[in-house]
Amino acid sequence: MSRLWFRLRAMLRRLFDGGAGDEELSAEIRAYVELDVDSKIRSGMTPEDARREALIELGGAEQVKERVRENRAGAWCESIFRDIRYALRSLGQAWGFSASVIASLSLGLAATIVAFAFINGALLRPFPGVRDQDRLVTLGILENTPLGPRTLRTALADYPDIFRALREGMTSLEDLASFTESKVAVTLPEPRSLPAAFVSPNYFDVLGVQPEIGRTFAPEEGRAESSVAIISHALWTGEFGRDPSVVGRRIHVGAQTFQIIGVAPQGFRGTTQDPIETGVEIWLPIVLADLVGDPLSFGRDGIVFLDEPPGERAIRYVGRMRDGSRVDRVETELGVVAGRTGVFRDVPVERVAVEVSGLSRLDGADAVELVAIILTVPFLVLVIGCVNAANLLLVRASRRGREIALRLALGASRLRLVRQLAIESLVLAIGAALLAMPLAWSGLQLLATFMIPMPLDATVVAGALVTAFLTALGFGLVPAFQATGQHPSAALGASPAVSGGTRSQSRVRRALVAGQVALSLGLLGAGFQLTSALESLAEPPGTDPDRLLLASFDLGQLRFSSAESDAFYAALLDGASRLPGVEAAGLSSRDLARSWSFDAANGVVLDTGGGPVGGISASGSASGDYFKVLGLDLLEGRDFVAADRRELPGVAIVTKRLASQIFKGAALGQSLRVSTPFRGAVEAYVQIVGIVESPVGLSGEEVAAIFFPSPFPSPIQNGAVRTLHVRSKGPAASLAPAIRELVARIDPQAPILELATLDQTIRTRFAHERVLARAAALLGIVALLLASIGLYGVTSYEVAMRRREIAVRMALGAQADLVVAMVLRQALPVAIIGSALGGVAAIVAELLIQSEVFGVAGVDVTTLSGAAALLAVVMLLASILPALRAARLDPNAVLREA
Amino acid sequence: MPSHRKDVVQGTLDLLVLRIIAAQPMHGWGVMQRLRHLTDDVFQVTPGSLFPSLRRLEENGWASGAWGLSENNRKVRYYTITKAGQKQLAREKQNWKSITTAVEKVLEGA
Repeated sequence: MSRLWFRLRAMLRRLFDGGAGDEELSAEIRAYVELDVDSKIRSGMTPEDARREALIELGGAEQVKERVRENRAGAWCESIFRDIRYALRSLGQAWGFSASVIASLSLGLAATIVAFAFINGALLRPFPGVRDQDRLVTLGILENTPLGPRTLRTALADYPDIFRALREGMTSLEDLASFTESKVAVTLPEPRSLPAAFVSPNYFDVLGVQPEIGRTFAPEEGRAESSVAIISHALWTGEFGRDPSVVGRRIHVGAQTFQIIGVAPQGFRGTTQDPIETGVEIWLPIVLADLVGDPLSFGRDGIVFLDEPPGERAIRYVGRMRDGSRVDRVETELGVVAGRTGVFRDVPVERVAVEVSGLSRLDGADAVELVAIILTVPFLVLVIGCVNAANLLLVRASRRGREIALRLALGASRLRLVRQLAIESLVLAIGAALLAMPLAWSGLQLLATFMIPMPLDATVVAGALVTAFLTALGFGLVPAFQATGQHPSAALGASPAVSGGTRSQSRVRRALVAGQVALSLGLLGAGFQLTSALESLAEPPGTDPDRLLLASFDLGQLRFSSAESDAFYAALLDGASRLPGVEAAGLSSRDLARSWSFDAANGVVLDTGGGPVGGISASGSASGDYFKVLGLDLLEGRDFVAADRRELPGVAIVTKRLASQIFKGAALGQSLRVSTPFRGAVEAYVQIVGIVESPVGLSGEEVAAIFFPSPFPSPIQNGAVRTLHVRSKGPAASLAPAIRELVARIDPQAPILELATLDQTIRTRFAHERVLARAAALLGIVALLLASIGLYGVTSYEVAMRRREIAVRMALGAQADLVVAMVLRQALPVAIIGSALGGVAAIVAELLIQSEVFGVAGVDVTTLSGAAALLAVVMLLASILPALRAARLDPNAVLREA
Repeated sequence: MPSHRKDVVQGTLDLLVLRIIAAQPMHGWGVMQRLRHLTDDVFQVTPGSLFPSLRRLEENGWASGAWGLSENNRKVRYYTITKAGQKQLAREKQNWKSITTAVEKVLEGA
């Protein structure tokens, strides 16, 4: 123990004594020599001989010192320290080179760190506030559907029996809680639509979540209808300014008044949090789910069928395992218990499955997929950066060829030199990591506004450092071995042209650059494509999105009867039309900000008498000046009048597209049978009284749609859901306060689910996609910059290698323009081949993205050729600069070198 | 290096140096002379081995170095054995003896 202490102390003293110990050793060796000389003189030698003999016997003071250094405690540590100091000094001298390498790497590293932070936040971090998460399991009772398994739907009336049976039957669990999620309208007092979880009263106890203030649900709050609510920490902070007196306060949720009994701990947003959503804002007793929950929110597995029975919910279960229980045992037990208790009801038993897994943010397959998607682009940029750095290091090594050869000739071992070059790379990589951290941090700040918390915690920083280290190995080792692989005599004796590497090495370098160019053009093309596609989504043609204000309502959450709804909407339309600054106002069961084709609640089946035609057609109600607001002209026939409004519509207006699809254009006056595609279909016979212009859909196609004077009754959406569309004379955003006032005057309880201009609404809806698309485009530009640095580096390198040859040519009479052309002839094929490959890559990426995101494929030639043109200009610049430098060589000076 | 002169393995050298400075505080050159003298020139130690050995002893806390004057008034570094060094010496002596005895037994017995 004491020995270790002594050694440690000695080591530390040496690290910080600033070379004093070295001085002391020199003095000691000098004294040794003097004593030796004295003794030799005493034995009869002349002073000169004695000194000569003594020095020979010593074998060199430096060598002795080196031996001492090698042998003492922490020698390796010290010599690495020395290498690092040396690396810092030599990199400091070549600051331009260092800056290029660090810049090349830091951008890719920053992107990788952001991806790490996202993965960490989305997958690795436990749910905040949850106790012993490793003992929590989610119990899934699934129904296999043609589209994949989804959580079994349960009518709320059946739920209490099922829950009791599961809770009592599952002996491997300490306790079991249930929950279902949907959106609710909350008045705070501004009405807002918030993601809510309806939970069993023991939900917080099972998860072990302690409230920040107040209490959680009491057992009796699960049985009777108790109007109590727990709000999220974020809501408490944002809406109530962290006022502790919020406990006991009453808020409106739907048509009910709820008392806030507690605030969830900071960060707790439920246990099914989607990585790009903010999560649950309010928790309510599960028995109230039908009373205030939005009937359209079926849960989050995304599979909603058009024949979805109304009023059934995806109820999920989360349990805490007893000590010693295992996930597979819980699953076996769930299968038995669920079968015995008849959870499955009328679903055929072969279509039912149970699934138990540890509570985590995402399950395994999803996690792998997410990681792959998230990491691909940053890794590509990082790889491009590494290739760049490797190329730059090769260039530098060629400049330092003589220095390295000299050191090899003087007896430095190859390993020692490789180590030193590797340390240089490591210093560069760490420099890049240090630069990447703040870059990544600011990127995360941008994303933080609408995503899950993604802290730069120890895990992420460690991941970043490991990546930086691997990066250093990746880009540093090959050049290091290549640089030290030469025979010293060759490098010292020969001209630089010989030491510059073989033909195959230069081919590898150029292939690397061509690969970089291809990758970056692929990224750039894909990013641009995605961005422009989303921009076009955000701008529906034919409307001035900033002059259109949308206000959406769901009076069903207020339990309005259809007569009450109609009265409310009539007053709303009338009031809105009279507001100053309003050009036209209309109401529809459709929301213009939603796509024309994907609105399940507004789909109808049409029948001209010979069976259904055209699959499921888009429909919607249209009252007031709806068509005028949308800028759709009435082409034939008439608009709806007040007398048309009935419980079941008798008349309809179709778009020109639908008219030509079904009636070959002669639609006016024709009759149609209309029905809903849902279970318990409603049907009506309508006569077509008007034809309007077709609105333009997402992919620029003309939309076929049918409109009714009032909402067509649908089992999953009654007439209570409507959106007010207002076209204003000026910017529509300024109308928002007047609309709020108007709504409050008609009914102070009625929540406006969303109130924004079409512009804003679409921007918010596509916010994630836009950020991701912009990030991809930005990374593409970064990659392009990196590729051009790479081309510049390789071209400079080759010019440097051919200095003598170029000088000879010029001395023999070659003109400057000939030299430039010669250099470009070498550099440009790399760019051209890379661009061709990259173009193909970009087109493939585009087709993939388009078919994945929009369901249609087509190549956007404009953006792609724009990207290619940008690439061409940058590449030309990157190769012309070294070419011009070559042309300015002074043959006299070059040929006199060496 | 002449073949009849034996190289001294590192651990053994440390033991010998420790033994020499245990008799009296000594500087590097003196240790060298003493070692040659005691082994009748069989062990030839170069400064390249001696100085690392002295540093090792010092770093392990077995010897302490201090500057002083030599017999002929040169400024030299004297090494003195420490308490820990004495214990180490005793231990190593014991160790050495048991090894040599064992080796001898094998050699004689075979």
